[in-house]
Amino acid sequence: MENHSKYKILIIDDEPQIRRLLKMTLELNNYKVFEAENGKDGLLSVAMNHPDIILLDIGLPVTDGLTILKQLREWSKIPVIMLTVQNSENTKIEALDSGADDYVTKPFNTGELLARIRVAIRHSLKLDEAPQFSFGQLFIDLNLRVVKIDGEDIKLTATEYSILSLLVRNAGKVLTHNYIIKEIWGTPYSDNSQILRVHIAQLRKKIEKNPAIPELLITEPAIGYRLKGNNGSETN
Amino acid sequence: MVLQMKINNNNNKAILRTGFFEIIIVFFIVIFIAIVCFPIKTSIGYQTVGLIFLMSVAIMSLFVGRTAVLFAAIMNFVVWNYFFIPPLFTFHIDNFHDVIALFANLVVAIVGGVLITKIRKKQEILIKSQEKISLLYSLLESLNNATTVNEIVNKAQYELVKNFSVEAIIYLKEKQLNKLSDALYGNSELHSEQGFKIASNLFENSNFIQSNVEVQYERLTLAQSSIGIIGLKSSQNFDTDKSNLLKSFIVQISLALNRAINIDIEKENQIYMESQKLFQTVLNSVSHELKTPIAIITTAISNLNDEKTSSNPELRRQICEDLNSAAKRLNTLVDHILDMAKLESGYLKLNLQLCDVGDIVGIAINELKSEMQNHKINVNIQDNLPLLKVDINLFKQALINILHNAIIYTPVGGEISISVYIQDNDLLIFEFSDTGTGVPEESLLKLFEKFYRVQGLKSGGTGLGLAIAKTIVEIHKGTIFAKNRESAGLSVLIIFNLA
Repeated sequence: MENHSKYKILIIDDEPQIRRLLKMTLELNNYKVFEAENGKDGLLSVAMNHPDIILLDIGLPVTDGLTILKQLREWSKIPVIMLTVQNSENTKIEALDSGADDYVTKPFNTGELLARIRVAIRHSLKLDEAPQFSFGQLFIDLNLRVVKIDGEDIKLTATEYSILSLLVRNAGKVLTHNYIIKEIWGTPYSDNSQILRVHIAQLRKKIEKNPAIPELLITEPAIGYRLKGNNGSETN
Repeated sequence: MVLQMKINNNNNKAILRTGFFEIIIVFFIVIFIAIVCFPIKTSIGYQTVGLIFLMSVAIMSLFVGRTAVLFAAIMNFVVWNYFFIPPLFTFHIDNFHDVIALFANLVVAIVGGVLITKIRKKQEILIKSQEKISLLYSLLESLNNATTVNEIVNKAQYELVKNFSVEAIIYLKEKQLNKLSDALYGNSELHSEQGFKIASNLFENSNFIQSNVEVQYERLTLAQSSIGIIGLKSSQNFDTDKSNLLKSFIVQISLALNRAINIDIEKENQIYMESQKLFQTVLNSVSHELKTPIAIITTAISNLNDEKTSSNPELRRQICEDLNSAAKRLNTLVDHILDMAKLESGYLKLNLQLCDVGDIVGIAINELKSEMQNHKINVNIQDNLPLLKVDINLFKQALINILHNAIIYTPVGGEISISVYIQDNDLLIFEFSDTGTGVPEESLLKLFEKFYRVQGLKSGGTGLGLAIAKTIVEIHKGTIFAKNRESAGLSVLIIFNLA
């Protein structure tokens, strides 16, 4: 594990109890924590404390989290994880499309939250520059364009490989349908979302132990896909 | 028959026109007989010609009205006298018995004609009243076939247009209040604010005199009270018969409407009673379901606070596990209540997307992974299934609820199978089978009711899961039902018709 002590986290949430619990958990895991109870204070704290990552509640009073996120993204690239509630897929998609790095749905368990934080920090600090990844039975070398399952080479079509490498490069992060389509086909034609589903199904047949119950290539219903990271996100 | 129809349509001008037309026809018939008989009068004798004229009147009276018969008799009288009775071409008559014959001829023609016309008139009246009865009967029948207020109004409107050429609008009395409700039935084009004012006035005061001629308002009354107002707009005036018929029809409409309103009230009462009962059940169940995990959490926390616990890590771990499962249960219940509220709000907008069937099943299984670790899971998804257009988050929830139910009621080590397949070319079937105990036959339907619990089975779910699943499946136009498996266990099936 990396040494967390240097990483600073800003929590923007209006619920004091949630802030206190989060602070407790994060400090136990060697993060330095700043708190803000509304968007305005939050933005101020970003400018003053330069956090490495921000946890932003989507349901803030006065100015909601989505607006704060958009304001923040005008001048900062600090990774943001949104704290959301159930059944708000459209808001989640909007948040992701507006530059959020990830989201967790309340009530979340701390293991999951910590995993997402690690992924976001790794991505923002480009800690994953090594071209080789392995996730469970899957091994992939982006330089050599080699994909192996349990040590055996497997053949992927060009599109399947593009999708897989995109997911691998963003391992642990959720990628929206639109984002994937834009990256792979250039333009976000909505027609392509069906083609994407077909490619994902094909890809699962090749890389999953049991394609019916995928363990690597996870669907986030109505939002997108996520390649389960190899870094502790399995804690459940 | 043509004549009959015209008489039925009853219009003075029409009668005049047919009378005039008949006289002309009669005139030509008499002339025709005269022309035919004139050259042969010497061979057959002028008395025979008189008999022919008499016969012609008798025959004509079968077909034409009284005026025409009288006209024919008089014309015969004149023509026979002038052209046939010697001396010819004068009105003078030589023989006295010819005079008698001539007048006898006239009298017989008139009496016969008048009698026959009278009989015909009576017959006409009979036919008319029979028609009236059968019309009224058919109107009644069509009203009887309608059960709701809307149906009755539609039928009445249809029959009024068809049989009376009348457009109608109906306002009904407001429930509980003695005033007219502005909800309108029938032809809304007849509605105007002024018209409604007149209708209201008439409703409140039966002596109100209406000055608006375009739409005529009538009270829909029953024995003691008015139930509403009907506005009629007709393009023609009616004779007494027709307007009487219309009045009796309106009485029938009142009766039918009253019946429908009473049925509605009865139904509302029933629904009210049922919702009262449901509310009580919901309240009892929800408070029980909410309080149980809260009680667990409260106890667990006081246990954690106990000094003995803090020194015993194994005990602490167990308490935390209890806390965790209670919180999870509370969360599921809140989710279910929110889902139910959302589904029943009527404001739900489906986010329909084409989805891979296998993917949805995979998502549902993944979400229940930790709950299922003590069961054998068997997934069997047919290859090349078509994409299914669903709101994936809702549909996933339906599958999760069904699976969750299977998990709760299947003993540890049991098997849960999920298969998705096509049957009969266009039925897409999701089948969830478990190896639990199944349920009694009479409970199979009730499983999908809110807070229904099979007697004697342990509780564990929220009592809402399957009800939510059913609602979700149904808003996707699918059907859901449960059956007991031949070997022990329960199967829940979701069927979509892809055709």
